[in-house]
Amino acid sequence: MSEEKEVRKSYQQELRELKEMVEDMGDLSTKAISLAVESLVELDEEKIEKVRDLDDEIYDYDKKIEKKALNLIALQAPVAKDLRIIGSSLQIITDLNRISRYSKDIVKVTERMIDKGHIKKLISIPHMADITIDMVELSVDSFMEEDESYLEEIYEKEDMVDALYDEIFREVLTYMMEDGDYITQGTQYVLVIRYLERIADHACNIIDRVVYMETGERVEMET
Amino acid sequence: MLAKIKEVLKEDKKCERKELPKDIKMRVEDFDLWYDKNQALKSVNLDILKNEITAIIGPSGCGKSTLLRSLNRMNDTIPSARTEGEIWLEGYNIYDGNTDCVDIRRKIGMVFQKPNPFPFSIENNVFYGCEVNDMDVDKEETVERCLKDAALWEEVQDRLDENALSLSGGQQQRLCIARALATEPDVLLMDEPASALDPIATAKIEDLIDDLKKNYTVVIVTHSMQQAARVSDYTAYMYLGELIEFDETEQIFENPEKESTEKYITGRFG
Ligand SMILES: Nc1ncnc2c1ncn2[C@@H]1O[C@H](COP(=O)(O)OP(=O)(O)OP(=O)(O)O)[C@@H](O)[C@H]1O
Ligand SMILES: [Mg+2]
Repeated sequence: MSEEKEVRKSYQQELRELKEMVEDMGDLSTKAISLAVESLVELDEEKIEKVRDLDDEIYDYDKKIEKKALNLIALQAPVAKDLRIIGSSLQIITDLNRISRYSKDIVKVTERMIDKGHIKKLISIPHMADITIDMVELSVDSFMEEDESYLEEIYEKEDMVDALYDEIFREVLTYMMEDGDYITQGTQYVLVIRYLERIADHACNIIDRVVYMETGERVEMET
Repeated sequence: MLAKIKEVLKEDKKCERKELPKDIKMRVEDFDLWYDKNQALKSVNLDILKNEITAIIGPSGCGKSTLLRSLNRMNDTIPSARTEGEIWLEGYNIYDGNTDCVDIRRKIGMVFQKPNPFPFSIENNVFYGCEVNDMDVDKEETVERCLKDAALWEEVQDRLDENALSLSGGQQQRLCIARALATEPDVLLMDEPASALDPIATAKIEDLIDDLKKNYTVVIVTHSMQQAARVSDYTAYMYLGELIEFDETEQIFENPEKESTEKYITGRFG
């Protein structure tokens, strides 16, 4: 009797640890986006390296979390919501991994931009990045707190990200049309906003998974 | 669920809003622009009417290009440029300092003085914006539609894969118009689009501009008063950074209110 209680307790403990690891991985991922965009705005080579180091760390977390989740499933045979939490963790880390890869893609843009310089001070791109980072943070918070009520806020931000994408794209294209010399830089800016938009999509995936985790129902949402 | 979210999104995002009369597409309000200490626009007020052609005229250096570019915030790339005042586009101030005001989807296309197609094929010039943006539209269909709208289709339909730089200056300029149309703007800004062209090519561009107003609101800067008189519905006359007079084109050319305007249009200027 008391032994079984012990086992249950450590199982809950393990589950909590698993979630905390996902949270840590989320923190690293948002840090990577933020640094990647800073590297671009400031054309800062040190930050490029930092983002690559973070990506390695994120990759390690991914492996550790996956292992722990699979162990939990094998040893504890979780059911119902516990199973959904573990399943969600596995899916969320896939999203976070992808997000981290986009941060790496952004620093590749920084590398290409370093000797070109910017055509103007970047304002809208960092703004778009801030909103995107908020979305990732909120989605991971919603997982930690097991609270799907962040859904609306996240989708509201997603709509802002889409609007910013459209606006920045038009702006960049206009500069390219005025002066063909801007094509090289312009194309790079468009890549960055596309990466940010994809990151935002992954934040939406995460919240959708939390909704499923909490309610057992899938979100039906046209985006 | 979705409906509810859409509802939330409609709510005000603390952006400045202003109801404009239905027929006004853009409103310039008490707008100033400085390049360092040199004031290039002085408290300009101007309404751009929907589906009409507005011409901006005035002597060299009076601020025509500066005003036109301000309509699309193109002064953002000039570090020394600083602005005050507002420019409203469908109820939103495009100079709103609140970065959360992303509802302002500035759907503005621009055509510049020098025909400057990209060094690609004709069709890739038109499709470039859609391509870079990964837009899910049919290439052939888009290219044909935009080239037709730019009155260039007949001349190039058999050589879409040829380099755009092999076209004549007038054709290149119409290609630049087609390229701007491909991004589906609703306002089209043109800065002396015919100044580098011969009279025949110019006439073609002018005919085209007249057709464009069915679907677009057009603002055109020109140093040619004849051109303004031929193509525009409204004319704004500028002098030394000030908007001196704005009225229906006919009025401006037949019976200007200000002496300065009269001098300029009758060529007794300077
Ligand atoms: N990038 C710039 N930096 C500093 N001053 C500028 C800049 N662009 C324009 N100006 C100045 O601002 C004033 C208005 O210039 P603008 O180009 O708008 O005139 P314009 O009416 O278009 O003239 P034009 O008919 O010769 O094209 C001029 O005095 C010009 O020298
Ligand atoms: Mg000019």
